Amino acid sequence: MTAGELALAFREDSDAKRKAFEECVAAHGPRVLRTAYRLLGSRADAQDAAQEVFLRFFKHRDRLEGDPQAWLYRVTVNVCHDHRRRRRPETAPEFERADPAPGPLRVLEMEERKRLLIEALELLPQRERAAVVLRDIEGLSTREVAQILEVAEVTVRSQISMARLKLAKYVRSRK
Amino acid sequence: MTCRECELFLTEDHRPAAVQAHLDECPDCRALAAELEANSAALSELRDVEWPPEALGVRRARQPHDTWTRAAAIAAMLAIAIAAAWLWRAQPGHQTAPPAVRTALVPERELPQRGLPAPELPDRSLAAPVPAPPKRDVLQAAARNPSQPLKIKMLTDDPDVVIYWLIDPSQEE
Repeated sequence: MTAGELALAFREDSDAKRKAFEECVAAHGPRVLRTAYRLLGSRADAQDAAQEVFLRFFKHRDRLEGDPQAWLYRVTVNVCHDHRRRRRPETAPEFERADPAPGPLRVLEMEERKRLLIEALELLPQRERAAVVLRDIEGLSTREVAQILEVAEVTVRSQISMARLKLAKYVRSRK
Repeated sequence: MTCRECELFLTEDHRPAAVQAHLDECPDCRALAAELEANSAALSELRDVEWPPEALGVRRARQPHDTWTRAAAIAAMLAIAIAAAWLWRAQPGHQTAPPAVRTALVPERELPQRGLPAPELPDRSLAAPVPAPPKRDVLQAAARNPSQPLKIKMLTDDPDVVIYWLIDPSQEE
């Protein structure tokens, strides 16, 4: 479904359906954008991915029941994986700039740590990155992550464990 | 417990008691544990990303105050439309107000008689407005000839509408 087809279908939807879709986007949009951003490392790519996620959501909206959060996370991860495969390899991750105003040393250290972590996330294998983004950034439980990624919990625990260790080693090596 | 085993446990969410015993003895693993904890805090802060409302390019859900905003916008548009219509109608070429009335004294013989055609009026487009004579002058003229009633012809912009006003001077006082 293209954006034009979405707009057409959106207009033809009943008020109740349209309202439900708008509410879903408002409720889950920031989460989808954030996850896509951490998986892709680029705001523009994250926006593209999030739009793709909600296009798919709109297409399947009649078949989804209950809270679509897990479905949206799963599709976000899949869309981001597809996006990374298509993306040129030289794309560098973006970093938020630390507040230029002078602050406590701890704040600066934290900003530097976050910058290194974003850098390190880019180097992780796809599945480990998805697991650590969902678990440590989004704050989901291991069970939820396993459901979203459609793997066993033990697999998620292993992926997260490996990812955390790699991130720690990367940060230590750059400090 | 070896450092390798400790490493693996440190990355787990739940650490067995044996890990703490190893940490008490191993400065390298303590440093790694501190690193992991700091990373965990930093990762959770990565959740705080600001996005502009239009980031998704999809309309946001309508908030309750949007109804009032829409009503205010409609009211403003109506006010502008009414003002524009009023200004348009107020232009000289679009006057639709009741036609202006011009008055003139006419001799009695020009009064239309029953069954006779009304006197021909001057061409409206060429007719200059006829100033209404002061009522006092009209009465003075009537006083000179009290037997003759006063006739006031009122011309309007509509050639089909002519008003004749008959005044009896004896009733003026």
